[in-house]
Amino acid sequence: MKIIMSVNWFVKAMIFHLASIMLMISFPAHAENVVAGWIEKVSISDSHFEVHAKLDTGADSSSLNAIDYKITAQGSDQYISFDLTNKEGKTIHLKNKIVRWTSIKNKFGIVKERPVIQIPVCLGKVTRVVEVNLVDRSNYNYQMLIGRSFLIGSPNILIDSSNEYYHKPACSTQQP
Amino acid sequence: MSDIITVGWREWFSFPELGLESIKAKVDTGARTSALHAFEVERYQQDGHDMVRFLMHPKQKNTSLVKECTAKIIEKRWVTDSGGHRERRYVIKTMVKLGEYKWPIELTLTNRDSMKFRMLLGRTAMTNIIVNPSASYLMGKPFKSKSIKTKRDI
Repeated sequence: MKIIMSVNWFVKAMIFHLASIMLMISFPAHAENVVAGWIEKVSISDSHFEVHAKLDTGADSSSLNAIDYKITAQGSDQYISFDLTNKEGKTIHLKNKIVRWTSIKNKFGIVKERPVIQIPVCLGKVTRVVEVNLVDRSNYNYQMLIGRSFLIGSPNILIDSSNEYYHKPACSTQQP
Repeated sequence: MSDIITVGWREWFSFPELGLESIKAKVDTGARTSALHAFEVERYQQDGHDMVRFLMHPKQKNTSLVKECTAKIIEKRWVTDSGGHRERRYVIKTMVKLGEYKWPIELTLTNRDSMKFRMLLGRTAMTNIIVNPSASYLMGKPFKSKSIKTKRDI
């Protein structure tokens, strides 16, 4: 009798577990949206190297400052290398595979080609590997421009355009 | 406007004082000032005020539909666009409507015929606004109105 009771209990427990698993599958935990200012410090390329970035809901893609880059061929791949110095005076050397070239058209219809690399970008606790096109941004206030391709995801990053610097890069994959 | 509202990266705006009922705009945290498409921009005087008269195409990808607008000039200001080009633009101040919200904004007038959006809402017009880059038209689409059909042959 006792055995029957415990079997009965076991079956009930299994059904409960199965039901909760089914619920979790049908309603996946939805990450809360994150709010950020329109300028944030982000870290790039799996290092603690930080740049000030403008978060731009008007841009599809992201771009990073690259001056005097060198392109080298390795087999059928092209690699691009350049030095990036941030506002704080720290310099990092980056060498990445060119994943594609993108054409950017300005308002006068002039098309310019930019190399595109794929790097991890960390904002607050959010890390995403995104395509970043490289261009001389020395005439701009911020070394990096982050567009919707980084901002959209789980969680979505919502922009408060009256505030700056809500976050410090704190991604768990980054070791000092 | 004291509530904090969340809007999409694209929204429909209207400008009652300009007679523009529905303009699709990009809500652009990358832009400081707001810009409205305008061409044949002419300055004139009315009751001692500096006024501007301009034409605009209220619909995207449509240059046959033309609206004439008039507004008071605040100033003429140097504005740098996203491509780094500097241009001197007229600045007007007018009420903007978004869903049930209404507030005054500054708009710079520039020819945006080669751009996808007829208007940009920049940061200075976004007090208490948070932008969700994954959403569009959170404040609703405007209902079809007949007054937008005003056509002017030029």
